[in-house]
Formats: sequence, C-alpha cells, structure tokens
Amino acid sequence: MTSWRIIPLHTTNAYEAMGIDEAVAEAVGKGISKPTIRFWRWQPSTVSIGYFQSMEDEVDVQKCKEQKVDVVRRITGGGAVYHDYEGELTYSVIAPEGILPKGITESYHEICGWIVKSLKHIGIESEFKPINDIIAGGKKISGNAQTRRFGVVLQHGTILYDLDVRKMFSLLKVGTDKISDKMIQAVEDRVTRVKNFGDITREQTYDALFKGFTDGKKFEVGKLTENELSRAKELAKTKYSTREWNFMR
Amino acid sequence: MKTKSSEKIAGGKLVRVELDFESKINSAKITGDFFMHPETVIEDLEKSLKGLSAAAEQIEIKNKLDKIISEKNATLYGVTTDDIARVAKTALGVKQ
Repeated sequence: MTSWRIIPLHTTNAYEAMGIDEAVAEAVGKGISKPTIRFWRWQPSTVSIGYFQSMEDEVDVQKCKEQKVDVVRRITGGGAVYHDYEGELTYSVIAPEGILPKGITESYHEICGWIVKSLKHIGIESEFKPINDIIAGGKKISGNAQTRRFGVVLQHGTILYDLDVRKMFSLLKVGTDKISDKMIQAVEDRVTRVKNFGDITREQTYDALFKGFTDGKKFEVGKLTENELSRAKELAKTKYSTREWNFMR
Repeated sequence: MKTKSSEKIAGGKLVRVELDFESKINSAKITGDFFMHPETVIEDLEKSLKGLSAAAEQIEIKNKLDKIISEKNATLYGVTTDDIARVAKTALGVKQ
C-alpha cells in the first residue's frame, strides 16, 4: 500500500506556494519524497492565472497592486482565480503517475472524489464535473488543475469557503469598468461556497478535507524537507515572482 | 495585420488566437484556460503556424498542430487541435 506524506494546513505567499509544488514534484519524481498531499492558504490573497493565459488580458494588475493582492502564473493550465485568504482552502496532490489512474479525466475523478468525500463530512453533496470542477447544488464549489511532469501528477485546487464576487470582479478584467448587479448575480447563479450550506466553520471544513483526502490511505503527517524548502525558495525567487514568468504570455 | 479571435468551446474553455499576418502568418499566440502538458509545447504550436498562407484552410492549420502534438508527445485537455484551428481560421478572416 502506498504510503503518503500529509503536510497539514499552512500559509504561504503565492510565489513560494508555486515553488513548493514544483520542488515537491521534482523530489517525488526522483523518488526522494513520498507521494504528498498538502493543504494551504494564500497570503497575501492572490490572483493566479493558468499557464496559457495572458496576464494583461485577464488581470487588472494595477487594481491588484492597490489592493495588495499578488499575481502569479501557475505551472498548470486552467483559468484565472482570485484566491482570497479568508475565502478558500487549497490543496496540492503530488504523486507518481503509476499510483493514480492513467487517464487524465480518470485521475481528476479520483482526486476530486476525495473532495466529494470531504464535503460529505460537512453535509454537502457534490459531484465531479469534467473537465475540472466539482459542483454542489448545481453550482461550482471547487476548481482544480492538473499537470504531469517528471513522471509525476501534480494537481492543485481550491475549495471555496466564502466568496466576495464584487472584489473578485474588481481584480479580474471582465470587459467592463462598471460591475453590475446582474454580473454579480450571474456568478452567484454559477458558483457556490461552503458557507451557503450552513453554519460551517473553516476549521470544520479543513478537518473534513483532511479526513476525505486521507481516508483509506496509509499516511504520516510530515513537513517539507530542507532541500524542498530551499528549492522552493529558489524557484519563488528566480521564476514565480519574476515579471519574465508572470507576464510571459 | 494583427487580428484576434476567441471562442468559448464546448466544455466551457476559452481559446484565443492572435495572429500577425500579411500573405503569410508572421506570428501566432494561443491563449486560454485550457490544459496541455508539457505546457511548454504551446510555443512549438505557435511557431508551427508561422509561414502558413493567410488563405490556409482550417484542416491545414489543424495538421500543423497535430504534427507538433504528436512529435512532442503532448496531451491537450479541454480543447482539441480542431478547436484551435477553427479559432485561428476565424482570426485569419477578421477584417480590420
């Protein structure tokens, strides 16, 4: 049975967070580190964009600066996301390809299944909706993004705990300066959050995630190695915080 | 001339193609919220369109993209080469 390393909830800035995911993927790829699940939060709040997106097209960078919101390009594809420190919980799963289903949809299904199980622990019925979402009550509650490199699957994603749609719109380029109630309602019709399902605390949500992700697995609670940490810091400095990376498309 | 076309494709992903062309394509940029790995192959896809006739059919564009995907052993997810080729073809037809 595969033995996993679980890194409990911690907080990092966007650049280190992206660096950690890549550093752990390298270490798992070399067989130095065990398959890893980590839970984390973004501080400062950040707008992340998918690998193939244009920063200029998607993000109001000036507004982000004014609001002290960082911007970062992810290693994974997918869309632009506003990660509010108070509003979401994030996970990363980094594991050799061999221990997850081979197909991309199937592996999303597997990992997203852990989230579905987690949400059930706090009374929320949800399901995986290809391509990369989880929906509850017909609305998106979790977005996920995957890549594969060094023989490793790296999937990270967020579970929406709370959401300030107006703030999100102010940071993303939405094709208009004036954010209308209609636009906000359109998002409310499409997206939900844990808080909509009752008086559930963030701690309860995290406990549920921990249970859902570890259920049926052999695991030990661990931390990043010194090498992973220093490599993550190096990647944060030389890649993820640079204009060259973040504005390359 | 420089043109841009984008399309929300089936499954909800957005593909945007920006082209700089006269009689032939000088440069192409493909952006969007789709997935592909290895991600760096996007630059090869963009380069593969360089030199194509501005009158190229969608299938010719698709063939160029397919060749790269195959050579680089890349996987597209949430978008197909057909989708990208269609958006590129639309960009070629955009009047300024």
